Amino acid sequence: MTDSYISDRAKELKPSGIRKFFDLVANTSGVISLGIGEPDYVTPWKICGSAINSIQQGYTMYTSNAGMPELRQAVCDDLNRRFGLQYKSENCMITVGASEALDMAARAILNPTDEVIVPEPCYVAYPAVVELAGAKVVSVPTYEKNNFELHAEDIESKITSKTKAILFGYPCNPTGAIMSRERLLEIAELAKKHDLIVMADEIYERLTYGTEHVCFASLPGMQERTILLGGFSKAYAMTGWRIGYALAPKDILDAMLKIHQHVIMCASTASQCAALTALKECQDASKAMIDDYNRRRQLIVGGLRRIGFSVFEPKGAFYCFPNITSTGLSSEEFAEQLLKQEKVAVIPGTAFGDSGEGYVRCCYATAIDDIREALTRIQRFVESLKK
Amino acid sequence: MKKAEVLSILEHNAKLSNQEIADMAGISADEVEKIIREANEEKLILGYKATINWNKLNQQYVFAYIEAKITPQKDVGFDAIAESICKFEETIDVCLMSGAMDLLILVKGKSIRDIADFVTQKLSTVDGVTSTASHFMLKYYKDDGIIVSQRENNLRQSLVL
Ligand SMILES: Cc1ncc(COP(=O)(O)O)c(C=O)c1O
Repeated sequence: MTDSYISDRAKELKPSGIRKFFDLVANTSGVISLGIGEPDYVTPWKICGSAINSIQQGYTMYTSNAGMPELRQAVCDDLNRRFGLQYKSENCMITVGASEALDMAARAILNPTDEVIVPEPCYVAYPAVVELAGAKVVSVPTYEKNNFELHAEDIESKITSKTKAILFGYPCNPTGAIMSRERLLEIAELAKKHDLIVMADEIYERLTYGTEHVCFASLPGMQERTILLGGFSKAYAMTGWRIGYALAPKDILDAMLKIHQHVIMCASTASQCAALTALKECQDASKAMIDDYNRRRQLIVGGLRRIGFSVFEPKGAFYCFPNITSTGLSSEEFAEQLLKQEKVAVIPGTAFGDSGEGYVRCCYATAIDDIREALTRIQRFVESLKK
Repeated sequence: MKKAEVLSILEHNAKLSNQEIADMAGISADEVEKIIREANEEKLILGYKATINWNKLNQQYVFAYIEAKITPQKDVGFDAIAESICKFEETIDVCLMSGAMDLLILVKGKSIRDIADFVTQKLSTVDGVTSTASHFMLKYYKDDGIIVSQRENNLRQSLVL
């Protein structure tokens, strides 16, 4: 009945495949969750303190729409220094998380007839923001045998005259894959050849293990074609602060900013003060967390392999994506039975696109003892399947 | 620095198996075994213990930091006095400090009375101890690197992704 009040766009938006899962988890006690993609750390104290201090000093008003000038400059300086980019403040806006940046980017560049190439399995919001902007998602599967890297030849066959952009995120949620410079260069060639915009969600860029992140915008000629999205949630354990950023060529950024002015005004002032402290003073704290994720990464990958799964080695973010086809179960069956039988929550790979079938996502930003207990339970579960 | 890495992993969680430590440090379980055996022999590892939140148990303990001033003894300095204080089973930590006091002693007892008895009947009677000041602990906020309230509460709310 009230359904008639709901817009077609809202109705068409697929509910997250993960939702029903989290409802199940919320209603079961004693669950070990490898589900939520969120650091288990609280924000380093120095960052919290700077926000409290800012409030005490009276920073309780709006900031400029694009964000505090010092923070925009600091974001540019940090990226320019690490990746050899040439961003100026006018290329940078501060957003309510990378989430908002993603939405603004999609709304600023997409028309209803446009197509956007989105590699899969991918973060659940990618198809959603493209569809909310009225455009069409063209998914391109990535494969374990290719290290879940995006191959230019897989994209090229999907490019049409309507293709406007490519949207990807590496290090990847949910696979933990990173992209090598060679592969990215191939994508850059394609972008040039077909005149495409690249929306690069690099929110996990600081979380790489044993390899350096390659920033897409740093490739020759790509700063002009890239909308670079990032944020503070993951590297500084600041998910609840809702603070991120977007960098883009000035005309695109101005269009994003116009939308942002109306629907957001500006990101939270206290969070912006906190983010500035994070960038300027908390690299050591961030690095300590990342070193610890690396230990947990190796613990969970080693443990899952010993149980008998084939596990692609994740080199970034804080997820691992074991192949569970050897159990004979589908991803959903695996996740659901594991939850019911052993109270361990993992996310079925299909939540991240059809090509995630055969995999589950395990987030290892979880206490070591919980990872150990989860591994014990998963082993028991797998053995019970053999009987 | 595989040794430092292994010891640092162990320091945070002494219950890990050699295989688990090996995974985390990216070396073999045999190497871990060797490093730990040597570290035990070299007395780099002094013990393994659990971090207990005693506040949650009915049987609570009382903890106090006690500052002590001592007169160093000829030839052996502070060491002999400190070592004899270490022998009291009430003491948990005994440290030589810079600054106004000489020794800082962490003691544990079942009651305030226990600790008072320790100070008046045992500590202050040790030769060379010239004065003491006791500071009772009222509440633990952070214990052995673990923020107590964060350990107790699960602050996560449910959300999708
Ligand atoms: C790939 C990816 N992009 C963006 C986000 C959203 O981040 P933020 O908290 O900055 O909005 C997430 C969070 O899970 C993510 O995994």
